[in-house]
Amino acid sequence: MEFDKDKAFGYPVLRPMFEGENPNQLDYMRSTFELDITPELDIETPEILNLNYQLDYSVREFESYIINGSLGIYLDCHCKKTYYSEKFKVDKSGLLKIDLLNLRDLVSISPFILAEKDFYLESERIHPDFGFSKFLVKKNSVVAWCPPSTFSVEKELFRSVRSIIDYQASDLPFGEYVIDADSDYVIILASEEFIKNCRNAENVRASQILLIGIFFSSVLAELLLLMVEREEEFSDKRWFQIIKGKCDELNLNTENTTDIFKNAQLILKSPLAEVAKSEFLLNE
Amino acid sequence: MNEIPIFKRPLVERLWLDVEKNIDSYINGDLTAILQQPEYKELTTSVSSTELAEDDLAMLEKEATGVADAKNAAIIYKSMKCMTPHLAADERVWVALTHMKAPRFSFQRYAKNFKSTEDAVRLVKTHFFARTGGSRGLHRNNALSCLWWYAHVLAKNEKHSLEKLTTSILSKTDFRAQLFERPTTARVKPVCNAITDIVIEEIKRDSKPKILERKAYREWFRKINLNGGIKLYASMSEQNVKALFRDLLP
Repeated sequence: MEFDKDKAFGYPVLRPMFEGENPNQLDYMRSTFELDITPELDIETPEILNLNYQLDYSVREFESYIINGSLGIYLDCHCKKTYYSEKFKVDKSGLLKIDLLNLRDLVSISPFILAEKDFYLESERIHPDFGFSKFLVKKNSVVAWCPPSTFSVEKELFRSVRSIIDYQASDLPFGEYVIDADSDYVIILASEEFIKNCRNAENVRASQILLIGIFFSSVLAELLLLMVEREEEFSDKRWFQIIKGKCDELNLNTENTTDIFKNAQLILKSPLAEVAKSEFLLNE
Repeated sequence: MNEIPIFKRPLVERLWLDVEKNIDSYINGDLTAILQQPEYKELTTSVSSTELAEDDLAMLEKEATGVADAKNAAIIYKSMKCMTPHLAADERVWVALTHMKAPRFSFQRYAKNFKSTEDAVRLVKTHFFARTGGSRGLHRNNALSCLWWYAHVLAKNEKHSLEKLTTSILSKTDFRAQLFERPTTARVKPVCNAITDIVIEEIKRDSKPKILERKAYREWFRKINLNGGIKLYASMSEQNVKALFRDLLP
């Protein structure tokens, strides 16, 4: 068995299979530990984060150890921004509810299986290089773990990209604008008259379509470009996380600049198609 | 008691962009005239169901010392009722509080030794807002939020009074930085509580304990960190973590 850099426990530990790994070289051969988790915000209970989770462990023996109380499944929930950390004992699948008053921005969930008491763990899947198929597990030892799943709990993620953009009057000539992305929210610097016209356009459906199709899609493309080229500088900004969340939701590739215009259109629900369909153009 | 104030996002952004223009008001510790402007006033509101004991803020000590910070952390934390971590992680609240309720304290504590206007602008942007340096902006840099977050983390240890915790842990600024700059030590409750318990016990035994000597605690935190690589502290009971950390004492 090759040396496993991720193994620091000194005994067999079940974990996911990482890219390029040979399933026969895992501590528990051809066996993995996986977490599938979906965060949801319910409009009826907006103060609660619902986490639908499903854990898979393909070591048959673990099931009986869990049933007889020798092993326990835990989800460790962390939020860096609020110093929140809580360990929940859970079943193999279910719904976990966490109070949103304790959370902000990014939340990480790490699953692990712990020994609830000292006992001998036996499995035919343990790699033969360990030289045993049964070993003593001490209480509180980790027998399975997964890297954390991280997601954003910001309600804004469920809102439109427009909510992260604001205007600020400047001395720029009418029609020109500059994007200031240094803060959590994006500021469009433009002349007072330009801003006034944009705000008016937002209130009328026909002009709203033009505004989104022409102006906001350009602004969004510029932000997507910044996300690729200056990721390190902006990745902690709220606007970055919200757009990234939208991209992830739509499975859009945000790692190169090739698709930025296409992605901007997809995020804004194809506004150019709306412009092309608008009566304004058809009447011409 | 009043509710905790909060600014609307456009006001925070306008103030951020206008720091240089308004720098004299920051230096004088009075931003009332700026915030009274009608277009700013309509962007100021408050958080319902919260309470702010405004008079308590007058007790904040302006000295730039760990001892003053320790006292101030307890004052700030106790002055706010129903302040949740979710709300306390919102920059808009802290920008409103520093600008409206404690501008003089915020400037005197962090910016009074400015060397030039440019320097004053930089210091105001760092300590009146909560955005410079990523999450440090909120947890370390904003003049008031850093105090609240220190107290919030320590208050999870319910075995001691808040004043005891803040005085014991925050008075030495480098020790405090070692604890709070390591996200795991400050975030994982059994870890943080074990550290604070041990420090308080050591202070009880000796008013100048070895563990509060720079070399000793740096070595201790290093060992705690190293051990965290092979033990999952979150999976351990507070009692077991404490026993382990005692064994790691230099």
